[in-house]
Amino acid sequence: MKSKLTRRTLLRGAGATGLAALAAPAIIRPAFAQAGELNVWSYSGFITDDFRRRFEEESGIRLNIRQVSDQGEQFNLMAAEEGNYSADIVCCAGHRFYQFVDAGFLEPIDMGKMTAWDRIEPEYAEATWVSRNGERWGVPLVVVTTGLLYDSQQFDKPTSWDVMFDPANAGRTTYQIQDFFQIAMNYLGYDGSAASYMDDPEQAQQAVNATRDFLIEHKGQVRRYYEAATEIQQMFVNGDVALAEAGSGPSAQLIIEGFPAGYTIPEEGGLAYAYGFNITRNATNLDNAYTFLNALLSSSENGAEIVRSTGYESVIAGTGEHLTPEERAVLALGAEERSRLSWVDVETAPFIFDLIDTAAEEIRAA
Amino acid sequence: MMHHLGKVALPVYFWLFVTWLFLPLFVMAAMGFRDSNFVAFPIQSWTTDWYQSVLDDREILASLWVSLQVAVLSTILGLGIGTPMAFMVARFHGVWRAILITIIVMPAFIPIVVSAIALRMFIGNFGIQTGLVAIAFGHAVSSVPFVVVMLLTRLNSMSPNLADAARDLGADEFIIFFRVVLPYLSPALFGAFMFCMLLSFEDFTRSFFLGSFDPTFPVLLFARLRFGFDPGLAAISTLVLVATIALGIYAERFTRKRTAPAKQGRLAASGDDKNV
Amino acid sequence: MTAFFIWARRFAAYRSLTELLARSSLARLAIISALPLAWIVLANIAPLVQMFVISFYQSYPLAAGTAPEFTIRHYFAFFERPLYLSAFARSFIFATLVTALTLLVMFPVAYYIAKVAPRIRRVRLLLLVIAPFWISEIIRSFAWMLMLSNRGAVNSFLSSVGYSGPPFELLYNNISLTIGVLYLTSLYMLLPLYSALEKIDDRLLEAAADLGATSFRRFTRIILPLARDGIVTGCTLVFLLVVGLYAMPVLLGGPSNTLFASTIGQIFGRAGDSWPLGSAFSMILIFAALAYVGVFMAVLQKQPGRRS
Repeated sequence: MKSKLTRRTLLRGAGATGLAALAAPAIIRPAFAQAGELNVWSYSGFITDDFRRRFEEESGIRLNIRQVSDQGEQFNLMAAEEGNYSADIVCCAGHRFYQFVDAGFLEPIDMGKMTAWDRIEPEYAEATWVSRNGERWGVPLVVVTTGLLYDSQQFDKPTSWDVMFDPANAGRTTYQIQDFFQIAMNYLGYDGSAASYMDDPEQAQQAVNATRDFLIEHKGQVRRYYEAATEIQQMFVNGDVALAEAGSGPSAQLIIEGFPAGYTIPEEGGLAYAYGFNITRNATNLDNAYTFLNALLSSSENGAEIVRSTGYESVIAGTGEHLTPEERAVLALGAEERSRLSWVDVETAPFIFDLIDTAAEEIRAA
Repeated sequence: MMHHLGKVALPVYFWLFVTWLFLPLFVMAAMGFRDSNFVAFPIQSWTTDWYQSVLDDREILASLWVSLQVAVLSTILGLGIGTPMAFMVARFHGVWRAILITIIVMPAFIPIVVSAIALRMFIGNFGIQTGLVAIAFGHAVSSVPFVVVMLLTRLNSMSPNLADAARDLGADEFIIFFRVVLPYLSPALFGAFMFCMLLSFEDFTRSFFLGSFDPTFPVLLFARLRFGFDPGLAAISTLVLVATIALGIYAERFTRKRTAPAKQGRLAASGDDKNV
Repeated sequence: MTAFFIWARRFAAYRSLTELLARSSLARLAIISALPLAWIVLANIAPLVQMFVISFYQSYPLAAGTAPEFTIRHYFAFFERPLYLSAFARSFIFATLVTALTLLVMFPVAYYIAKVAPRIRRVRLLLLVIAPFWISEIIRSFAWMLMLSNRGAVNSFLSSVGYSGPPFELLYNNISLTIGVLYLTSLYMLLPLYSALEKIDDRLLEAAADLGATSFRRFTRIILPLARDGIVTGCTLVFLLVVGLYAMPVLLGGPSNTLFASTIGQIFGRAGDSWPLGSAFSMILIFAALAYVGVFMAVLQKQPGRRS
């Protein structure tokens, strides 16, 4: 039986105390702001059960974790909480977290308290994606790339995004419109990051419109527009699609599971950004929040656990040493492919995403 | 011809419908045994690990417990508010009735995301904490319109003579309500009860916005789903299904035993006992 | 229960209360209405007013430290872009068709349970049909994906019986969407239909048969009119449900099946200051759907044979 670096092994481990815990259900916990607590919103797999147990034992802080599933969800929830946030730490970092910064939901990171910051790989520690208005707004944990996932029984490793638009593959492709849009802009020769359009909104609009019309024209290629990462896995396993614009995490999980698929960054490029944690404005358990973030970054074994539970590459230095060669092979991108990635720039993102959101609606409705 | 239709075609149609209803669920139950991290055909090797892991998973069990409490609480609220509301509407006629019904069913029209956000802000105005009670309130807001509409359907057909006869026999208004009106409403009440329970038990959006750090079952499921539909999720859902069917059968047996003598008496009196 | 009320009659206060209730319909109305009216104001009207107000904001949630500005441009946005109108129209057409389909599929089912099946088994059959709805809507959608995908149960079955052509594409199109939605709506039609059919007196049908009425005539002249309240209720519930549906079309629909509620969901889901636009569209949807259902009900009420 092949090695399974999966949630299932984690589930088994976590389950040992299950029934005993249920016998005395501490279901209704008193609300927030108690001494020795920390309220965290997290994506599944970012805080592993092992880490949680170790952290709670060592620090005496109890973690209340709420699993969330996307940025929009967290944004709406925080907006509805109207400043009285139930979480100390949220998980909104990613390519759109500028919206959280601009809405005043977050507290800038106090670098003086981030003693473990130097545990982040230098390549990721100084990247632009967490800086806005001269402050740092988040702590990265994993790196996400967006590239091309293909069925390796039907395709040799494609070198170009051309395959997505090849009439021979009609009805066998899928993508998340907003993410793919920037890639498609690059593919068509425009500037997907929009950095060069900053002074010329009209030119940006033209580029977006042309890309939109191109995608509408090729709508027949698409089996379906997906929303959540897992949907791609399901569509691949079920044979519904053979090509997809996809995130690195779900792709790696699929490949490690033994499904005949490959993941690549074609020559026209792909996107990269980081997922991590942010501190909410006026967080009630501020000191605990820093204790938590420092603990999270300070062990490379923990980095490896996160890699196994999410499929994403860890930013923690030295993580690779704890992974098996097969795991490393699946996760690592070659230097050439790496060079094709463009990092999402938080300063220009608001400008282009407004245009892309509207275009995405039009593509969907067309 | 009606005879044939009733005795042959209708049962066949009904069981075809039930097959259609359950077929995907059987497929899902089978998937829970698949020895892989993804659900798909074909199932080459089988394992019971997924089912076992569910029974050991304290998060799942805790979330089911939360969901159950929310469902019971919101059903009590929904029926407790919806029943008198239906009586209230029944007293109005014409334009007023139309206006009242319109206002009452309004929550059902609002896209769920919107109403969930509106409710979250709304309870914030009153300083109500998110969590079990807030979720139950949110579910009741959405189930009351269904309760009212279902009860009204039945109430419309109730003859006023029934209550009058009881009154002539010396029953006061409370006795009439509990001994005449409520029993007459019971099929609709059963439907409304089921509605409230189901709506609450499977709701994700409202529970997410009004919930706190203890997720309801659908909220937990959704968060896990986002990171992969593995056979474990199929196993969980199957077990929940089996448990609710078992509970339903037990409850039905239980109520039938207790009410059987009374019911038979009533049926015999109405002369409609050919099926008993 | 009765014993309690008889016991309570010893007290003058209880006696005068019941006498007052028996005498005055206004008093009956008051005791019944107090709680529902409070609920209507609190749970129905207040959040709606809040949303209505937000729909006039320039932007919301407000960026930190800015004052609100008001505008009606979000309502105009609906008419400016044909894509919203087309999704809107698609929603109403789709909801109408699905409602009619659900009625056709569910009427025989409800009739079987309420009138044909042995009385003693009715509740059990109802519970059986309701059982699948204890599973979350999303999981049920996934179950259908397992059935309909290219390597799903249907295609696997076909290839195991010797079919060797390319797999049938059953998923992510109108077929899968309709199946998935019908699966969801069937319950909402069944319960009101059952409740209406159950109360039709069997003796009425027997009498009609004795008088020589054909089965078709009995159906159109007795069963349908008497089941009308149930049909109206069921159709209303299903229509409401389908118009507001947004998760299922995203999961089971294809690239060209966008419905208006999904559009609204996406406006709220995309993060940013787009709540006013979403709120304005919600108000449009709410009032359009209410008007639509209102007309539907008014037409049915005008039919002859209606008692009140």
